[in-house]
Amino acid sequence: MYPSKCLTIKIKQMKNYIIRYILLAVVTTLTWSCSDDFITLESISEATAEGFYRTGDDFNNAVVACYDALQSNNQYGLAFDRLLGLRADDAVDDNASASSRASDIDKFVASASNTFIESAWKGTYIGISRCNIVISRIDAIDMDASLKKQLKAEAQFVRALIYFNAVRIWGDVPLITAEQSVQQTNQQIQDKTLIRNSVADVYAAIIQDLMFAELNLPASNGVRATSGAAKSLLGKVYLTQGKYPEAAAKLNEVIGDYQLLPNFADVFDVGNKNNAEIVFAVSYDKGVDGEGHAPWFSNANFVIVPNSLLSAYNPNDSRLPLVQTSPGTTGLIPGKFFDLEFQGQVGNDFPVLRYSDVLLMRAEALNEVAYDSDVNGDAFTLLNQVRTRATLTPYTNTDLTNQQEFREAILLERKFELALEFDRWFDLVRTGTAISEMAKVGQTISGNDLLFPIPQSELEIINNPSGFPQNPGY
Amino acid sequence: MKIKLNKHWPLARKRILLTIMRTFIFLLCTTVFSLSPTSSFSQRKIKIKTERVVSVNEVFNIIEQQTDYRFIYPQDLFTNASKIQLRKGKIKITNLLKSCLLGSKLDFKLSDKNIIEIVEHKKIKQTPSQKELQKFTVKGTVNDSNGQPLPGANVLEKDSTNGAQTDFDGNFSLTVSDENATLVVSYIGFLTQEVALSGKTSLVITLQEDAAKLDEIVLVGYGSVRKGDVSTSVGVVNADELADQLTTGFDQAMTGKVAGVQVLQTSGSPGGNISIRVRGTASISAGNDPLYVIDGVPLSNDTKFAGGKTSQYETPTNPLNSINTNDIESIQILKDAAATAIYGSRGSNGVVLITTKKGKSGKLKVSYNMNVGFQSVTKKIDLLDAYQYSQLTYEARNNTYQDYLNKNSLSGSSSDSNTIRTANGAPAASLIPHQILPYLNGQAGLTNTDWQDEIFRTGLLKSHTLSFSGGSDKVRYFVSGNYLDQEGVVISSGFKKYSTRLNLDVKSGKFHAGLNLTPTYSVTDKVNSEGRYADEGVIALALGYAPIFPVYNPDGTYNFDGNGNKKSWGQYSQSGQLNPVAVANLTQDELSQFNFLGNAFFEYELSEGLTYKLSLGADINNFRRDYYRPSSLERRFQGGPSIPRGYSSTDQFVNWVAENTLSYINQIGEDHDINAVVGYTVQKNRFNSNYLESSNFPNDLVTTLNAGTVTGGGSRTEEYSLLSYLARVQYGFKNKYILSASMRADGSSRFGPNTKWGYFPSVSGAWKVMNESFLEDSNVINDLKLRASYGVTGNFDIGNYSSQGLLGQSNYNSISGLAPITASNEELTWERSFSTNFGLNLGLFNNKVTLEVDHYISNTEDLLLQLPVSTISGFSSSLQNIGRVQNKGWEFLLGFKNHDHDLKWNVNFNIATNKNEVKELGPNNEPIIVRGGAFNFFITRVGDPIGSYYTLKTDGIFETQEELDNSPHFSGAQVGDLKFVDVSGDGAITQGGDASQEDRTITGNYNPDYTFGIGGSLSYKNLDFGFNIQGSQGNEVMNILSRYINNVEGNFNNRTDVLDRWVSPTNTGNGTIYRANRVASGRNGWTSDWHVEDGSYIRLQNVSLGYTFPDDVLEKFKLDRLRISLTGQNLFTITKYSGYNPEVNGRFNTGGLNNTSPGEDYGTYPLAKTISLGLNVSF
Repeated sequence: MYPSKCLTIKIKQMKNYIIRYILLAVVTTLTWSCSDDFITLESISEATAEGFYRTGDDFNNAVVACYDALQSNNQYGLAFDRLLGLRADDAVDDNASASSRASDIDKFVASASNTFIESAWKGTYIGISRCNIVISRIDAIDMDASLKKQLKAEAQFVRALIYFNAVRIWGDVPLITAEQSVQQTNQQIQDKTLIRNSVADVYAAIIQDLMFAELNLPASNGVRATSGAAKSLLGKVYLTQGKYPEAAAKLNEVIGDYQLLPNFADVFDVGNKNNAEIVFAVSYDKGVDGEGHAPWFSNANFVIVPNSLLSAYNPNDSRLPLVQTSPGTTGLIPGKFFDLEFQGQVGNDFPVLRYSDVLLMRAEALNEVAYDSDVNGDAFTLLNQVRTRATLTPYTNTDLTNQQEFREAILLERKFELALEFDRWFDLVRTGTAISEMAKVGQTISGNDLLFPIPQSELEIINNPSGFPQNPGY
Repeated sequence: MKIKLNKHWPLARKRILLTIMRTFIFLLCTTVFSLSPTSSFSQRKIKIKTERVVSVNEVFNIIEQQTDYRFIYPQDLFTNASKIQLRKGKIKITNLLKSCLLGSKLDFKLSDKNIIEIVEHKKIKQTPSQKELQKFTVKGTVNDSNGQPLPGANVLEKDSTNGAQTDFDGNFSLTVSDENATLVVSYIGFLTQEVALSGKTSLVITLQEDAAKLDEIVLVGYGSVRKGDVSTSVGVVNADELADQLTTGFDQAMTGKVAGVQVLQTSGSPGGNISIRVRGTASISAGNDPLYVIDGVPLSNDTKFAGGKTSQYETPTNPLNSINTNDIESIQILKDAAATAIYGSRGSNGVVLITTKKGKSGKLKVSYNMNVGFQSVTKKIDLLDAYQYSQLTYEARNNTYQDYLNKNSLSGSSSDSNTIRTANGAPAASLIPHQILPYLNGQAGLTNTDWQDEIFRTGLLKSHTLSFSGGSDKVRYFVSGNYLDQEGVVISSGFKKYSTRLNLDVKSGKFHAGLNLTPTYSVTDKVNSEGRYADEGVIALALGYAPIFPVYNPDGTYNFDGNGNKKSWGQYSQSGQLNPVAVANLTQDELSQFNFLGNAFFEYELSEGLTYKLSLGADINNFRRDYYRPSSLERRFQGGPSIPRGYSSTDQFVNWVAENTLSYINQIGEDHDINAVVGYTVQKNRFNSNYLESSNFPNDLVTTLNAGTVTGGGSRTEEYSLLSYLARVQYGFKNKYILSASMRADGSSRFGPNTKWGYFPSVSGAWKVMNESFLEDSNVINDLKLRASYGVTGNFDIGNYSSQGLLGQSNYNSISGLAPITASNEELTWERSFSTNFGLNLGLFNNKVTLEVDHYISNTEDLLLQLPVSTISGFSSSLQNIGRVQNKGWEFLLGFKNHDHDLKWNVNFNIATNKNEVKELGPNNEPIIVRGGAFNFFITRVGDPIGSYYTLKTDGIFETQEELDNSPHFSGAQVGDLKFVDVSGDGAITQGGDASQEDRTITGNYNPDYTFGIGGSLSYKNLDFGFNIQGSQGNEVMNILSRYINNVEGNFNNRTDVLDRWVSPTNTGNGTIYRANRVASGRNGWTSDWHVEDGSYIRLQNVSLGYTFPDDVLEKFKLDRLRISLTGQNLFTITKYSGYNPEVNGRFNTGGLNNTSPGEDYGTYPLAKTISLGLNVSF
């Protein structure tokens, strides 16, 4: 009951002389009925979690927030550019004096307090918690059933992608699959139940998410995730796990659904976003404040594309100009992420999964199952599709005579095709070639360097060295 | 009228006999143990519930009702006797009887069996028959010290029965024996006064209130108690202590008057800022302001930043602007937790109760107060003139050049021209600006601007207050209007206020109602005075701006030669600055406020002592701010015209409160005093704001936003509500032992669903030792009371939705999304303070010497801190209740007073210590390090006070190369640079990094060790003199402004301190000022203890001299009172602090962690000293 109403009643009763004896009783009764509603006020100018998450529209907004997490500077917007972009041999940062310490990542001397590592960790779990909110709450909502499944599938797709990145960056990570509050997290920390789950457990969860996603996502979904994206990502997960037959089979489901653009440069053109080759990209819009990003691999950030990469390309390779840099408004920027129209931010999408990646992955999976010398067989065809588009001559079975040669050719092709697309480091680790490949560019690393350190701040808060240890070597 | 004695004495004897018999029988039947010894009789007190005028017979009835004493006297003995004015409170029977019989030839005595006999006065000599007398008639008026007439006062010719009583207007007329007779004037509650006629036929007699004043009433929140019965710690400032101070806010008038209450004038800006701290800083992240309650309405204190801020250092608006000092009757500051616990969740920072003046029954009294004063800055900072400045710039640049040459092994000399320097590849910072060349050549008569003189002025301050008051028995009124106009001491700043007040009070039978209404409108003309030169703070600009530039160009436009690039000042790598006069005059910035503060209450006496009260109050504020920055004002580093920008905002605060209380005050039997109250209150506050901003105005002709293109805007609404139950009971036994307990339950919308309700209990006790038999007859000690209290209070000043998880925009490629941005914390609860207080009150020689001592320990727990949490939760921090801060201290208030002679004087001295210490922080006691301005850091860590300065430490300057080589130093450091101390001892100077390398250390703190005040007044006949001195000791100021105006770089003007700078190993100056260098080597500019200064000060805050015109003059003009006065404020301050104001607190309330970064001076509006003339007339 609204209090002024309570008061009016009382004022009226004031007139009554009986008040003398019953006043106390009246006061007590009225106040009880006015109490807790009166002091329960929801925020007016900001929505609260309590009042939200009730309708299909609310959940659409919540799912958009999951993609937003991918887009943020804690993931693809900035942190991955430094973490994954610099780590491998396709970009170099020699500016050891910068306070942000991006160069330390490139040189494998990054400490557990490195800003970008902390940022990526934070981005990972902010993203996961957004997905978990949707996944945990949407089942109870009364809304269109198919849309409900789709939204849930989108959240599961994003969650799978984030965990897939996390597990490849840090190895064992805490596997949180339901919404949990700060208090619950603190409780888990206190109970020492917040642990780093095994890589295998995390992969199991990823696969589960993607299996749900591929079934419930539409084939076409604008800038959002599609069934094709879920299948491709699942294929990549299998491939990373070494489950080659599964990978080959899953990727096969996507073959034909996308196509390679004839002109390689068109794939990255900011005026040609979401084209037929893009399976899934993190989308940006420089026209809206906060929806664009700072240029990736910009030499203004002291990042250069090394000669070791540039000179490795065949001069005729149509992909070469896309890794070469040209002057933008904020320094030299490689062609893949070049956007001349700088509006305080640029608007390139980040291609997470491209069709050429799918083709190469399937070729690799098939080769890992068994080498097939048939140049018209699937493996050679897929690989050569990619090469031909790059205006290179196709490989023949005299070029690649056995499984190992084919394997090396695939890895090299991926290096050229997917340079600067945050794949190289994971490819090196996945194929066990990281140490040897990095040695070729003069970077000596050890097995410990294959994983990044867990952020120091997180370790200190959790403070459980047995259940939540640092990675070895840090 | 005269008191006539009844002639029928013999008849009376029969009645006396009858009465005796009746009484005897009565006593026999009802009681066998009520025989009271005479000593008890003299101590017995009678309670007077309301102020009224009664007959003597009625007084006896009251005594009979409240005691078992009976009177014996002839029935019509007092038929024609004067009436007695009774004042609310308690009075000893003996005193009451004496007053009743005063002027008569009667006396009383207690006989056996509780019978009071009225007997003839033995001492009175037989009055000569009136016929023998020469008739001499005298007329007069009896007033109290405020000029209020006293109806019912007794006027008696000395040593006679001849007397009269004042009428309703305080007038009397008496025929006395001769022109040299002496009148004895008495009135309950006032000191009896003897007046020699000396031939005068007309008198105005002013009675002084009884010094003992033990029956004075003290407000304690939702009720009042006698001052003598207070068992908690309460500071009181009365109207007479506030009188005659020309202030824009009453807060200034209470400065230094109450021990443990720090009133800080952190900025002198008109209409701006108030900072009151009661017993230190208890909270790290929540508010530390006391709760203000005006006539029962708790003010909302979130109006401070209404209208928005133009810079981060802008001072808040004073929430008490709307209160007119002249309307204040008294201010009471509840200090300890037992006193404030009745305000529960808002009590932990103290409670300031303000009572406004009420009308008194009597004829209409008109009072007019006028004050006119002149204000000027208290201080100017000694700066270099244009010639000295040029010399400094020259030397600094030569040193930069020399450093460059040395580093690159080039040869060259200071006489190299700019062409040669450039050819050598030297940087711009080593070139000699052409503007200074004429000065270096010693050319006379060049521009030499004193920028302080340009922005400061003498401001006129005037105030007029007119009030009407008066009333009848049933209706009393007080109406006042006030106009105040203050010109700021900085150009283009000022404050105007128009306020009115109506206080109405109606009493009829058991009903009592009242109304207080205060509409106020004020306009503040703002100038951007606080903070950095880069944010256009005009004070910092005026201090730093090169004196070689003129204010105006020859054509009358503003000169901007000190601005950046295009004007060729920037090409030399000088800091681009804007002309401070232009900034002040061209920027339009006005904040207007309409405040409506009002409340109405209704009281009904349900039965003896039991009263129900309903009080409804509202505090409504509307703010509007209009800002325009014209094209004629350049922007830093850019030429003009600039792109104009304007904004306009409105903020509305509606705060209403309804309180229901039921109070019971009674004496049960002889020994038991009960004073109890229960109540419940509801309060709700709603805040609405909106703003618009425009840009691209075509010209500066129209400055309202319609003329430009609207570029932004927004609106916002917030609410909070509070629902409370409260109860307090005070029990007094034998007027010796007092026990009081209170409890409040507060439910607030600001807290989580599981913690909405907080409970705040308190208990206190007092032992009135002076009423014990062993002190009863003491001629020395007339007051001795010991107090102890314990209470729990809360702090709910945490923002409106802190417990809720809020969502923020999380859009993806223009598709709108929402995601949590703050973690909800359903357990979020009140910060709670647990405080213990021990106190002592001592009064000696009829309170001519008084002493009040308090000692307190207050622990604030469950501090609200934004703690880092595991990001696995999806958040990186969350607001949690953790940590503990302790404040403990001593307070002494010592008073001396002598009003016995024509020379009346009193002096009060107070001193308070407070030790602030952080006891616990987050789970690992991780310190909180906050960055202030200019890479200045503050640390809040366990074992130290909140917000200590955390900087590098210096140890003089490097005097020799050998010393430099053998000490850890920053690379590039040279002889003549500051020598930093390697606190960590690792052989290197490190700021930041892990703790083992860290060389920053605590170098000071804003909290004083103690604060003190000395106030006094002296009057001789019609002259009066008053003064107030206040000060603090042991507080430091972080003067980061000296990173600019004492940086020896020659890019800003510098203080004259730099004249003693290090020049060469043989000319080391005073050994504290480092070497001039435009590009300081050795990181001299890094914030260090070099910038920390002692902020101790002692200030003559107020001094006044007044003359009250004598009665004969008043009589001639038919006036009650006429007084003129001369007052000076802030006349001088003794301090070592080099800036304007040692109380400065630049980051006051900037953002969430405001309390953790106090005491920074980044340029602030100087305090004004005021000399004013006052006129006070009443009739």
